[in-house]
Amino acid sequence: MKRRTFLGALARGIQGIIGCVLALPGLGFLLDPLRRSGRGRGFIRIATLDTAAFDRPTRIVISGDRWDAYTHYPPGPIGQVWVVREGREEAQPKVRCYQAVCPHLGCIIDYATTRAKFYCPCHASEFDISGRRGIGPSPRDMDELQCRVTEPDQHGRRWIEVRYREFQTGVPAKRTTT
Amino acid sequence: MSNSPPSDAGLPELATRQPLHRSIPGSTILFLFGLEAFTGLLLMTVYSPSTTTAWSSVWYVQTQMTYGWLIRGMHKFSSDAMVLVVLLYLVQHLRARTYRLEGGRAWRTGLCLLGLAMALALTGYLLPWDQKGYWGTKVRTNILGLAPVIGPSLRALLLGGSEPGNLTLTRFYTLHVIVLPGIFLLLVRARRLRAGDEAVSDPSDSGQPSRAHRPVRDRLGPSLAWAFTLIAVLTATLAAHDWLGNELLHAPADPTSSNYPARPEWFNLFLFQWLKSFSGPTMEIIGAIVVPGAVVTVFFLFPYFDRLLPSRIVHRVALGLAATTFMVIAWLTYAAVRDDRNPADALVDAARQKERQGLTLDDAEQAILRARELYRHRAGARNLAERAIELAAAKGIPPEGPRSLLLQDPITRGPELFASHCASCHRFNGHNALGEIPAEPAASSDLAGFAGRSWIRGLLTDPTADRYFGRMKKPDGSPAHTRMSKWIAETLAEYADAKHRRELLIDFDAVAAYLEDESLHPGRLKEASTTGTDDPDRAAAAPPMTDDDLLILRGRSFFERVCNECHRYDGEHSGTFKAPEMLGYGSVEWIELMIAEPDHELRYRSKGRERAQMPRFKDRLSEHDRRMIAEWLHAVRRTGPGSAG
Repeated sequence: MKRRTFLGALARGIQGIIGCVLALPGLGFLLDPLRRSGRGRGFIRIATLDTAAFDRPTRIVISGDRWDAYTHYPPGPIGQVWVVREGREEAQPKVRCYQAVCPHLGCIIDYATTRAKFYCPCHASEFDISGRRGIGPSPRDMDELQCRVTEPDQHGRRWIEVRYREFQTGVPAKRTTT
Repeated sequence: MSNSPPSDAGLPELATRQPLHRSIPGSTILFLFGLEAFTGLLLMTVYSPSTTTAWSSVWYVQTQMTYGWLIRGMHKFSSDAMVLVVLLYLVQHLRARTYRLEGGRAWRTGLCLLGLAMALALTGYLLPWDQKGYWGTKVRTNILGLAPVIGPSLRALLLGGSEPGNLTLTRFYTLHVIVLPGIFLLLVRARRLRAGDEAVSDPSDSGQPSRAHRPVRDRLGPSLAWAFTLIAVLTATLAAHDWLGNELLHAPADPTSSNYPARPEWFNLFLFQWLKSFSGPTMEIIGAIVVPGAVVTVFFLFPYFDRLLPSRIVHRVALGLAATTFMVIAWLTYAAVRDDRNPADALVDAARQKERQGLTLDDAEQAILRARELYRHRAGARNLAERAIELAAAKGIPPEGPRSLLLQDPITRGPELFASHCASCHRFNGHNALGEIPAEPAASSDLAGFAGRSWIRGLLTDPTADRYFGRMKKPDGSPAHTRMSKWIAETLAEYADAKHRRELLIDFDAVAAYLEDESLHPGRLKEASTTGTDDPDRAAAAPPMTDDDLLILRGRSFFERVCNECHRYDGEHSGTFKAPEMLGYGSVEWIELMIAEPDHELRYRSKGRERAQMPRFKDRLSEHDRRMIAEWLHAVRRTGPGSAG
C-alpha cells in the first residue's frame, strides 16, 4: 500500500509541477497589459504664441502620432486644446491650456463669446475663463494641461508647447488615462 | 473488467496488463492537445487575422509581450511533438495489431489523427502571414489544385479566392482554432466509448489484469511521459530562442518577391524531394496525389485485408510496408536536406568557371549552383527578417502593414533598386549590391563607400583605377572623364620631392576628410577661416580641436585654394572649367540630383566638356525610389570601399 500511495502521490506531484510550469508564464502573458505604463507624451509644440488671442480663448487642434499596441499611426489629429492668454507682459508671456474634452462624458467643450464662458453642448456644463466649473453636470473643473511658452527662435517667434494628456471622464478626481 | 485508466481517457489503451509504456502515446497525445489549446488560447488574445495586422501581432507576441516567445515557442514545438507522438502511437498499434479490433477503428482513428496533426500545423503556419507561411501555403494549395476535377474548386474554397489573402487568413484561422480541434475532440470522444470493450477483446492479451497494480502504474507512466514531453518542448523553445533567434518569424509576406527560398516543414520535406522527380502536369498529379493517395489508402485498408487474408501474413506485410515507407520517407528527407546544403566554395568556383567558358553543365554542377543560390537567398531572407523585426521595434508598424516598413527602408530597398537599375554599369564592391555578379561588364565606378573618406582618398590616389574613372568610356570608345586623372598626374609630378610630396599626400587625406564632413554638414565650413592651416604647427596652436577637426579644416583650406578652381562651390569657382558642384557632396540631396539628372548644370553639364555618360533617371525612377538609393548610398559611405555591403 505504501508504495502505491507514494507512486500515486508522485504522479499527482508531477502533474502539479507541470501545471505550475505552465500557469506561471501563462499568467505573466495574460497580465502583460497591466505592466505597461502608457507612453506619456513629452511637450508638443502646437502653435506660435501670436495664434493665441488675448480677448478670448483659442482652440488649437493637436497633431501627434498615435500607438495602438504594434501599430504606429502617422501624425494626425489626436486632440484639441483651449489656450487662454494671461497678462500682457511681452517679456514673460503666460498661457494656460485646458483639455477640450469635457470631464462629464467626453464631448468637446465650446466657448460662448457672448457670455464669455466655456460650455459643453452635450449636457450644458459651463466653465469660466479659468476653467472652474459653474452650472451643469460636470463632476470637476476643466482639466488643465501643463504648458509653456518657448524663448524666441531664430525668427523671433515664440511657441506654445503643451503636454497633452487625457483624463478619465465622469469622476470628480482628475486621473490621467494615458 | 471494464474501466480504462483515467489518464488514457478516450484513446484505446491496450491490454491492461501490458507494460507501462503501452498507454503513454495515447495519453501524451491528449496532453499535447491540451497544451496546444492552452497556449493557443493565450495567443488568441493577441493574434489578429488580417494581412495588415497578422505579422504585426505575431511580432508583438514574439518580441514585446511578457513570455510571449515562450508561449509561442511551446505552441510551435508542441505541434511538432504531436506529429511524432501520433506516429509513435501508430507504430505501437501496428505492432499490437489493434486494427483487428472493432473493424479497425483504433487504427483508422490513429491515421486520422496523423492527418489532423499535420493539418493543424499547416493551417497554423500561414497565420503569421510571413514569407515562409505565405509561400508554403501558396505551393501547397497549388499542389492541391492539381487534383483532377475537384482540385481547382477545392483550392479556391480554401483560399477564399484565387490567391492567398485576407479571406485565406480568416478561413485558415477558423480551421485551425475551431474546426480541426473540434474534429480531433470528436474522434477522441468516439474512442472513449470503446475503450473499455477493447481491453477485453484484445487477442494478444491473456489473463485478467491485476487491479491492485493497474491504476497507479497507469497514472505514473503517463505523468512521467507528460513531464518528459513538456521538458522536450521547453528545451526546444529555449534553444530556438537562444540560437535561432528570429528564425521563428520571417519577413512579412511579400507576394511580389520572386526569389524566396520556400521549403516545407520537416514532416513534408520528403514530399518536396519526391516531387523533384515528377515534372510536367500529368507526372505532377501522379507524384503529388496519386501515389501518396494510394499509399495512404493501403494503410487505411489494413483492417480489411486482415479479414480477407491470413492474419499472420497481413501483419508481416503491414509491418514490412510500414518499415519500408518509413525508410523511404527518412531517406527522402535526408536527401532534401543534403541537396540544400551550401556546397564547398571549390565546387562552386569550378562550376562557375565552366559556365563562364560557355560549356554546358551536367546535372550535378547545375545542382551545385542552385544550392549555392539557395544558400544566398536564405541568407538574404534571414537578413530581411531581422531588418523587419528591427524596424518594427524602432518605429512601430504603420497602419498599411509591415511590408511598407521594408518598402520605406533605404537599407532594404536601396540595394534592390541598385541591382535593378544601376548595376548594369556600376558595381557595389564588385557585385550588384545583392551579391550577384551581373552578366554585363562594368562600365562605370564602384560605389561602395561612395563619398566616404576612403573612397575619395582612393580616387585622389589613382583616379584611373577601375573603381573610379577607369572603366568609363565615351561613345567612341575613348576614356571619359579624364581631366581629373590628368590633374592628379600633373600635380603628383609637380610635387615629386620628398617634403612636398608628403605634404601633398596629407593634403589629399585632409580634403577627403573635409568632403566626408561636407556630406554630413553641407556648407558648414564655408566661412571658416583659412589662416593658420597651411602650417601644421601653427594649426596646432589654434583653439583646442580634435586632430580630425584640424584635418578637416586643412582639407577645406586645400579645397578652397586648389580644387575650387575647377569644382564649383555654391556656384562659384575661380577657373574656367566647370567641374561638378561640391556643396553638399555625398549628401542625400546631392546624390539624388546626380541620379535624376547627371547632366544637370550642377553635375556633369550637358553643355560641358565632360558630359555625363550616365542616363537621366528623372523619368525612369520615381522620386521615392531615387531617394531610397540616395539614402542607402549615403548611409553606407562610412564603411568604405571593400567593406560595405
